[in-house]
Amino acid sequence: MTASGSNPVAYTTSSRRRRIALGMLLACVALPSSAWAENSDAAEQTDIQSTAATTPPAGAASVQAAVAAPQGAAAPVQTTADWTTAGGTPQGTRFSALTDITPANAGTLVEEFAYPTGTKGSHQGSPLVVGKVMYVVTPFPNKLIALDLTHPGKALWTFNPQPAGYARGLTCCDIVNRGAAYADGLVVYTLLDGNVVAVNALTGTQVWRTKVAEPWNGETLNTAPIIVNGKVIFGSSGSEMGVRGSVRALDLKTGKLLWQAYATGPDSEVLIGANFHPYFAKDRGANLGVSTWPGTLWKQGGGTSWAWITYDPELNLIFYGTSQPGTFNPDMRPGENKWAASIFARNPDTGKAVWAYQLVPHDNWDYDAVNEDTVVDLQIGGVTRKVIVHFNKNGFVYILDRATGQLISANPFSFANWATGIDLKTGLPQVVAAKDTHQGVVTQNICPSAFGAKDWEYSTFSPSTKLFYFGAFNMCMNYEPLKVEYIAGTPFTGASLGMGPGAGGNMGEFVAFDPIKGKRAWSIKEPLPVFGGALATAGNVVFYGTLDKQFKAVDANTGKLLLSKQLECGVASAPITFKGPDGKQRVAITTGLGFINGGFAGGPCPAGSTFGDGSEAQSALPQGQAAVNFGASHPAAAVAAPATSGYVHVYKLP
Amino acid sequence: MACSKRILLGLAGAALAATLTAAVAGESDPAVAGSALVICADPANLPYSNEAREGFENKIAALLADDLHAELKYFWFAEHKTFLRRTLLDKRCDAVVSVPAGLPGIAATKPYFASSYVVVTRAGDERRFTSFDDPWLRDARIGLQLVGNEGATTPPAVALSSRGFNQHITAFPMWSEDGDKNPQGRIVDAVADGSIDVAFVWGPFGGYFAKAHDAALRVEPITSDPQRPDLAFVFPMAIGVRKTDTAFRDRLQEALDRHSAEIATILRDNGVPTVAVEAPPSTADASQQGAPELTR
Repeated sequence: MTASGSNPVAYTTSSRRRRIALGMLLACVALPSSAWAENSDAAEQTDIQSTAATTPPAGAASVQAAVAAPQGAAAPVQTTADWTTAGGTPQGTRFSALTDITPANAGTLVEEFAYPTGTKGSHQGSPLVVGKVMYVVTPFPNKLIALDLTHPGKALWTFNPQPAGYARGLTCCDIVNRGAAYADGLVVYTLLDGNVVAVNALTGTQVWRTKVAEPWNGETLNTAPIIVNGKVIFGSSGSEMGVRGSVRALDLKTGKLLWQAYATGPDSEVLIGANFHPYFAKDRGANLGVSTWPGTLWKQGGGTSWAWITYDPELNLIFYGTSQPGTFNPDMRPGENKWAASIFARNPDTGKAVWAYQLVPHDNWDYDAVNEDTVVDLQIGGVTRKVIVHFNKNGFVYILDRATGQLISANPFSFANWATGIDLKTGLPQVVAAKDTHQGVVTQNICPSAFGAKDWEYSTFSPSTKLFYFGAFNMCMNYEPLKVEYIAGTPFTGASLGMGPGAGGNMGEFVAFDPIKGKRAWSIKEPLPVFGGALATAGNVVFYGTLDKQFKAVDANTGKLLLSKQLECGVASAPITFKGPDGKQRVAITTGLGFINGGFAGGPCPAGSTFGDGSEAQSALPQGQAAVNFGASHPAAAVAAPATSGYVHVYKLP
Repeated sequence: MACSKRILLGLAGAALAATLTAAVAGESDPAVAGSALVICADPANLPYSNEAREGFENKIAALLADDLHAELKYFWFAEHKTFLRRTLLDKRCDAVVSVPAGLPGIAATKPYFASSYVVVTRAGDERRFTSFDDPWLRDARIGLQLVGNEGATTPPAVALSSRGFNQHITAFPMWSEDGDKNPQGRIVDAVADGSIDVAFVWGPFGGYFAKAHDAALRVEPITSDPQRPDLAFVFPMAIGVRKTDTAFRDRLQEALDRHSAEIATILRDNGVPTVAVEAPPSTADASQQGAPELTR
C-alpha cells in the first residue's frame, strides 16, 4: 500500500491471528496444494544440502559472559552455563558455547526428567536456568515453578501469583506467557492481569508487584521482559480493544515505572525528541504518530509489542517492533498509520527513540513487525557491519544498520507475492496491487498468509556457521469475504481466510538462512507450521520442537537430522541449553499447545478446557499476595498419557 | 491436504446433549424431563444476559427449559472473544440462545427474530439519518462500537470509511472492568449527553440502552447501504448448538415454534429492535426490499 492510503473499497479485516484461527476452525477451506502452483526463484526451497562446513572457533567453550566486547577482538556472544533471558543472550542470538552435545552424539540424548507444569494451554515461554535451579512460567494462572536440578523431577517451590479476576472463565484475552527474565537474584515476569512481578529466586517470595495495564480495557501482558541496566523492559498485548501499544521500563529493584513509550500519538508520548534520527525521509517529521492518522484514530492505534526485545550493550540500544494497528478496517484509517509495523531503536535508560523504521505503511495483511531483531556483526561487502537482522512475517529479511537504521538489504527468505521487493532507497515495499484485499472481493493466493512466513517463534544465530535458523510457515491464503462473524453479541460480516500450504504441500519448514548471501542454506520440510523457536550451540547442533510432538536436533552445517524424540504434546516454545549440576550439558523444552497452534495439530494438547479442571482461576488475594507452595515433587517417570498438563522436558547425554 | 479435516475432527465431540435427544419426537419428550438445559451465556451483557438472569436470552432460556421440562443451567463466559470455542464447542454448555443465522461451524434453528444495526440521534437534532451519504455525517461526531478482535469492524464503520467520514470518530469498547455495569451502553449515553452526535450500534444494544433516555433519543434501523450491497446490516438470529446435536436442535425448534408470541414479547420488553426476518446472509443481498418494521 502506498503512503497516500488505500483505494476506497473498504476492507473488514479478519486477518488477525485469533480470528484467523477461528475462521480456520469454523470455516476452514481445504485447499489442495496444487492450488499454489507458483514457485519462487528468490526463495530456494531446497531440501537439505550441505554447505561448506565451518569449524567452531577454538576455545569457544571456555568463553565467559554473553556480551560483545568493544573494539578489537570481539568476545563471542553466547550463553554458557546458565540461561537467564528468553533470547539466551541480550542480543537475541539464542546461541550457546556448550559443546558436549555434537552431531556425533546428539542422537543418544535421553530424557533426564519431565516435570508437569500443572497447566494446560499454549506453553510459549522458555525455561530459565540459574545455577542449579530451573525456572518455568506457566500459562495463566502464571505460576513460577523452581525446579531443583540436583534432584531431577523435584520442585523447590511454586510461586502462585493468583492473578486477578477470570472467575467463571471470564477473560478477555489469550492466556499464554512468553517467559521470565533473571537478574540480581530476581526472576521477573508479566502476569495476564496487567501486573509485573519480581520473585526472589532463592525463596520464591514476591519482592514486588506493579500493576501497569488493565485487561478490561483490553491491554494484557504476556510477553517476556528483558532486564537491561537495572531496568525491566517489556511490551504489551491486546491492540484489538483500541489500546495504544507501548513499551514500559520498571526499576528492577523496586518495580517503579520509569518510562513508557507509546507506539502512536504525539512525539512526547512516543518519546521522540531532538536525538531522533530516522534513516528514511518517509519516517521524518514531527508528530507522525498523530498526523499519519485521520482524526483521532491514533488513540486506538494498536501497535503493541508483544514479542521479543533485544539489546546491544555496545551502543546501549534496545530494539523491538510494533504490531499492526489493531482497530477498524484499513479504509477507516488512510495514511501510513505510524508507528505500527515499525522497528524502534531506543535508549533503555530513558526510553527515548534513537531511530525508527516503519516496514509496511498502512498494511492490510497483518504483516506486523514484532519478530525479534537479532543483534549481530556481519561481514557485508568486506566490511564489518553492526546490524540487526529481522525476519518479518511478510517474507522479507531486513538487515539494518543498528546505529543508523539504514536498510542494508531486504531479501525474501520465503515465497512472497504481495510485493515484488523492498526499495532500499525509500524503505518502501513495492506492493502488488492484485494482492490487496478488498471487501466483497475474493483475492486468491496471497503469500505469505496472515500467519506470516515467520512469526514470533524465536530464531537463533550461530557465529560458527554464520547462519540463522528458525521455524517457519509455508502457507498462502485466499481472502474470502462475507462470512458472518460474531463478537460480544454483535454480528457483522467479515471474511474468512482459507489457508493452505504453499509450494511443496508442507505447511511448515525449518530454515537455515545465510544473511550474507541473502538466501537459504538449507531447509527441512515439516508437515505442520513450526510455532516453536530454535537454539544453536557451539557443538554445531541446532534444536527445535514441532507441532506434531517431535523434539529435534539437526546438524548446524548440513541440516541432517540427528535426533527426533517423541513428546506427549506439541511444542510452541524455544528450547534452551545449560550446564547441569554435574557440569554436563542439558537441553530443555516445554510442551503444550492451545487452541490456535493446536488447531493445526488436531486440537489443543493437552486436551480439554484451559479453564476448569484444576486450572480455574481463583479470585485474587488482596494486595497481590501470592501463595508459595514448597516441595511438590513428581517422579522422574514417563509422562502419563494422555497428558493433562504441559511439561518441561530435560535431556542429557547418557 | 490442508487444515480442515484435522481441525474439525479435533473440535467435533460426542453429543453431550444425548440425554435430551434420546427418544421420541413429539410434544413433551419424557427423556428430557429431569435433564438439564445448559446454556452458554455472558454473565454481564445486557440486554442479552447477565447472572441475575435479566436479559432476553435468560428469559427465552427459561421459557424453553420450562417447555422441555428441563432444569435450566448456565455456563457463564464473557463473550469477549473466542466465546463459541471456549463454551459451546468446548462442550461446557449445549446451546447459545442467540447467534446470527449462517454462522459457520455450528448448527442452528431457523431464525426466530432479526435485528439490524441502528442509528441513534437526539430527538431534537434536526440532522436526521437518511443514508450514509448524508453530508452532515462528515462533520458530525460519530460513535462506533469497537468490537475488537484486531481490526474487526462493524458494517456502519465500513460504510463510513468508504466515504472517508473518519475525522470525528469516537470508539466505544464493548466491555470494561469487572463490576463496571453496562459498558456497552456508554455509546448511547454519549449521544444523549451531547458528547457525540450520532451512534451506530447493533440494534439490541441501541434499543435497550436508549430506553433509559426515553423520548430524548431516536433509534432508527439501518437495513442497507445501497453503495455497499456487500454489507449486511440485518442479521437473523437463531439458537445455536453443536453441529452434531441436530436432534437437540430440532427439539429446541419445536419449543421455539410453540412460544413465538411470548418470545416476541420478551424481545420487545427488552428493547430489542426487530425487523422482518429475511434469509440468512450467506451472500451479499443487494435486493433488500420493503420498509422494515421497527418494534421496540
